[in-house]
Amino acid sequence: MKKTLFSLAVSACLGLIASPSMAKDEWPTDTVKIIVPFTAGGTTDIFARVIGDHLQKAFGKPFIIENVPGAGSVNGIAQVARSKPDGLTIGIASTSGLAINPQLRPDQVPYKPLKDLIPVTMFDKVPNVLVINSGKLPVKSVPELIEYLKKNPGKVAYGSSGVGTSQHLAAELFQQMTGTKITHVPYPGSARMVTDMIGGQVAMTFDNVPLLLPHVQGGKLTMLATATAKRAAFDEKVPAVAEFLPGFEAVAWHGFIAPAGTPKEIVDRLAAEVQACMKKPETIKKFSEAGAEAVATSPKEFADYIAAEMTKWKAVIEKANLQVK
Amino acid sequence: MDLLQNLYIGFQTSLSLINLWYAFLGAMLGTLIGVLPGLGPIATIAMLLPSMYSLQPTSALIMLAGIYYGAQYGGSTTAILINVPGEASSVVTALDGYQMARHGRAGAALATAALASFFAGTIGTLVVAAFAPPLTALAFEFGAPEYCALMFLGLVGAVVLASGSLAKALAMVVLGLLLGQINTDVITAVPRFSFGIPELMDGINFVVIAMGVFSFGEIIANLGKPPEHREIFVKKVTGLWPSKQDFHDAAPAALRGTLLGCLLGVLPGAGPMLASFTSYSVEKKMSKTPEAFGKGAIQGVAAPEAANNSGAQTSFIPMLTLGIPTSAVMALMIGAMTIMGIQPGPQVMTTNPGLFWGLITSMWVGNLMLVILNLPLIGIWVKLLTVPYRFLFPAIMAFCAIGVYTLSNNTFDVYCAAAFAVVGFLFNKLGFEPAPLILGFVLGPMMEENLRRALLMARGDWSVFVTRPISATMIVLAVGLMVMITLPAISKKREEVFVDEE
Repeated sequence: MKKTLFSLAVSACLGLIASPSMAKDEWPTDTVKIIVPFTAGGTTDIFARVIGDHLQKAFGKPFIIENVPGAGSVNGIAQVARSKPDGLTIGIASTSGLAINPQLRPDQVPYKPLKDLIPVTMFDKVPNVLVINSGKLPVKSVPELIEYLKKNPGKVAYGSSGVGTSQHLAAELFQQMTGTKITHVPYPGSARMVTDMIGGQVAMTFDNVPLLLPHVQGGKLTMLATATAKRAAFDEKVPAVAEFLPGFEAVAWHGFIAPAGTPKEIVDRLAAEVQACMKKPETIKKFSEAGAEAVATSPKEFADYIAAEMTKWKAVIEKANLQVK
Repeated sequence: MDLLQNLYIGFQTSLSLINLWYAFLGAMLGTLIGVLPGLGPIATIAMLLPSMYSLQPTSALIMLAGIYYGAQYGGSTTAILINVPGEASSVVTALDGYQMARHGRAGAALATAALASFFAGTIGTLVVAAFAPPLTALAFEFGAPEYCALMFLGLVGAVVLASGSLAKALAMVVLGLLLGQINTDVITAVPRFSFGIPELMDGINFVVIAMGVFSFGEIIANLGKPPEHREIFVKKVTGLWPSKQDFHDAAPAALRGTLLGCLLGVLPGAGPMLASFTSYSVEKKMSKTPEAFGKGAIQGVAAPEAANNSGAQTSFIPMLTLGIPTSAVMALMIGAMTIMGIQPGPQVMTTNPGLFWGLITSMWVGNLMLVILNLPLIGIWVKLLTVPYRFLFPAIMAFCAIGVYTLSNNTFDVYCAAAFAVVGFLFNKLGFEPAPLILGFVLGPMMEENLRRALLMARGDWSVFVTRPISATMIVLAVGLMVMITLPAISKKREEVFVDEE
């Protein structure tokens, strides 16, 4: 608590010091539009509304959410990239929109993530977990799974929430690091996939925690490991895949972006306020209940993270020859 | 006994004054949203979400559920009154409901829809309370091959929807299938027929086509008639209430629709919509006067409305027992639950019995609210029809255009709907009925996706469709239906029955 207050105070002070320009004092002059590249009501949209609510109170101007869904979040992000860089249009983007799709299907993505957009701040990480239907796979641990897959190449099917999602690439990365072959069965979104997992139509998946956890607790599915670098906070007893495959990490993340050319003062001020929001205990609680880990990064940290993710997924896409022409 | 006790716990929660108020509020908001095509339930609920965090989780969910039914019901109202089906499941209601309205029986159609919905809602609630676990098991039996077979059966059944010529109905189904091919392939992520237009990469929205070919097409056709012709159906409004004969005709249809809806509603994705289409086809097949369908048959309103509503009820089962959303509104409710600190999933029933059973019983309360709210409104809705057409149609157009725009906040959808308006007008003139097109458009992509997923999982082995019992049964049914339709002798008899209007 004390630490939170302290960091709040620090970020507030930093905000004050680093603000000699006029733009900072005046912004926001008008309603700020947050473009969410997903349909209303999804987890990302709800998170955006929670943060938007905070920004609205902090800046005293309306922050409205505009949902521009489509093309795996490419449409919405493209609209942010095309917008006037005056700080009145900002957006939200995720792993697939920034680090995966631009490389998976470059012909269909009209923006270059780090050239046409300015990363503002990352606000959450959503861990993926490796879950199996133990009625279909007679294994109890990651090493057993790897061994089983090696003996049965191509015979086991994994479900994903779509081509080019972090869940899909997590499984690709897993195959590349273990030298196994699993059949990809993509679904449009996770809901149907989870039903099919429980029904035993597909045997394994890497997916977000929230939808899977209740069925793991209910005994219908078995969680073998988390796809996080270290063991995840929601259950320390579950090992991380990285313990068996050093360096394995596949998380989904979300952050704020702004069109290239947006004044630095505005980006910094926005980042500071989102960070303040993400450090509030109630935000942390809300996010963790929805299965996400609240994070707060500076614009620079977010940019570096995106660059690292792009390099990582680019290698996976090239190695698996996934690019869509 | 358990059931009674559970219902008791539920009613204790849902009949508390505060929850009754939220159920009412939700039903009212939902009706408004449903009646104004310019407002979608999802956008509205999303806007309301932040203010809901402060509510008791139970109250908030009851209100959300109220909005969900209300919107569904309101969608039927516009389908009947002005031929604007707000969602796929009310397309069927528009077929005969709008024709009833044109014959001055809008009141009877609306009352039938309300009462059939309430009846179906009551049964649906009991089914959810008593049979949630076994019905959940049914949903698990449905893998990709079963879905594919079910869609196939639905598509063959689509031909029955048409009241005109068989060839035209088939052509419309095929056109619907082709339009459904415009999207990004789920399995390979390759965009198809999008011609580099990013908006087409996710396919054309169902609402765009429905508004274009149904509503706008109808409006243009109406404007093409001389004014006195145009308003004639409004002037002869007879009785607001269904007659004794109407009740006699509608009751068994509503019962059959309810049962079909309860079963099909459990299947995620297509449940309520397939239920309303199927129940319409069943009624038409069973009826002694199938030629009356499409011209204002009251069974054609009662059955799909009942099926749609009981389907909407049982479609809550996967969400309640598993935490898996079967529609966007439910995804929103699950989002709201997690934000409020309740983890949706199988354990809700035991950790939060008040909420679980309260939500189930509030379904019934919500349906009751809808009837109370809507029966008195029928008079007002019918009066609305007496507004001169020259004022009415610009208003309809404007609301529809706003509604289409808010689908994804993009003008492209509005232009698309305008293009489909021209197409819809041509269909209207040439006597092609749009309902089979819509069914082909909605079912086609789902069928394709499940077909390919089934083959992917069976590693290319087509026998998977006949070796699994559920899928085999449905394929046999579909083939049987197809033989019935195509056998020359029967088809000749069919033409006698399904004669063209002219």
